[in-house]
Amino acid sequence: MALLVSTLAFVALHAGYRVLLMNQNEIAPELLGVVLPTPRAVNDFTLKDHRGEPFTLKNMQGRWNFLFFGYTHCPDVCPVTMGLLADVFKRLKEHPMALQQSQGIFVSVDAKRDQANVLKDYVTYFNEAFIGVTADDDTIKKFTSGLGVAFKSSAVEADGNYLIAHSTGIYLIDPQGRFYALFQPQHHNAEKIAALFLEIVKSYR
Amino acid sequence: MKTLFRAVAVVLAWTSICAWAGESVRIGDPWVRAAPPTVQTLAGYMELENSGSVDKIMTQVQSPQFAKVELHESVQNHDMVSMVPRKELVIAAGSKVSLKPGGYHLMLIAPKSPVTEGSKVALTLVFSDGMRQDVQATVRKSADDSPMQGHEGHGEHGQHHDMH
Repeated sequence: MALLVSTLAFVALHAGYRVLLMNQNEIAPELLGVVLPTPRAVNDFTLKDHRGEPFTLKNMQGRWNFLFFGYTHCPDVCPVTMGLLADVFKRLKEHPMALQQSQGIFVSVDAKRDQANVLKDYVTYFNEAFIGVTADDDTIKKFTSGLGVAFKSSAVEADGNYLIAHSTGIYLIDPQGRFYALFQPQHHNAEKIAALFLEIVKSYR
Repeated sequence: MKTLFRAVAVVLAWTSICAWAGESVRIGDPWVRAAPPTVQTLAGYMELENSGSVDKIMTQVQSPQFAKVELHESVQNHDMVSMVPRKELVIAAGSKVSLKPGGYHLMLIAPKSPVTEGSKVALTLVFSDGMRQDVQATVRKSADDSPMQGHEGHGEHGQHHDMH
């Protein structure tokens, strides 16, 4: 009897240890520096999408959300990154399961100039299914600071023009609405992001 | 005799102007990134090669199709990117400068009519020595479409230091 108990205890311990090990190894080596050590809950928010509808945390839940922050008056880095995101989604066509549960979201940090119709033209140009969202400065700031996204407007020039410095990462929000991974500019290659994302989906639990 | 001298001087001056004018900057693959019609700022890219013996300084770019053209540089600082307006672009003698995605680019502001994919954008590059060079840039979706270069190396945001 004692032997049985100790054997069981050993088996249980061993299994527990194995689970512990698995947890420690949860982040595959190639995902280190991409996936956050602990997913971070995103506080609820109410933005407005390119159809003029409210866009809240609920709209992200149940999906993998690729977020990029920028503004349509940004002619260089923003379209490059949006084009890259469109390319990632094209590559995901070979993985319909992953594609079906993914959405691409452009968050404009320039609500003043990026009205719904401008956003609509902009996002759908890159991918018909992409979503454009924005909100007034205070709301956007609350939303972006929760993710560690920064942006800063320059002084307005005589002709009314201004520039905005902004984070260039692609932020991944998981189906539970948590900030899960970040693709930094050095990972900005469609093939690489698609591969990393598929790896994330595979190891997600 | 005096008149002859003057004539010779004029001829000499004129030929030297011709020689100077002939020393143009070679422009490679000028293109403008296509964008949806509501977009108010577009980016223009090209390679500028100065095979001459004198530095060339591009001080202005004009286009009848836009309200304004500026020279900008995308600068990546940690995870943030900002566009920094530049007053001039130096193409040192015997060197090549690239305007390319994530680096130097022309910022084409407020198109007077929609700029469609496949169309041309007329640009005039103005240099500090008075030289003006006309360029026709093709409107296309990405750098990848270039027949000359392979891949753009998306988002590498490469920076060049050949500008002073």
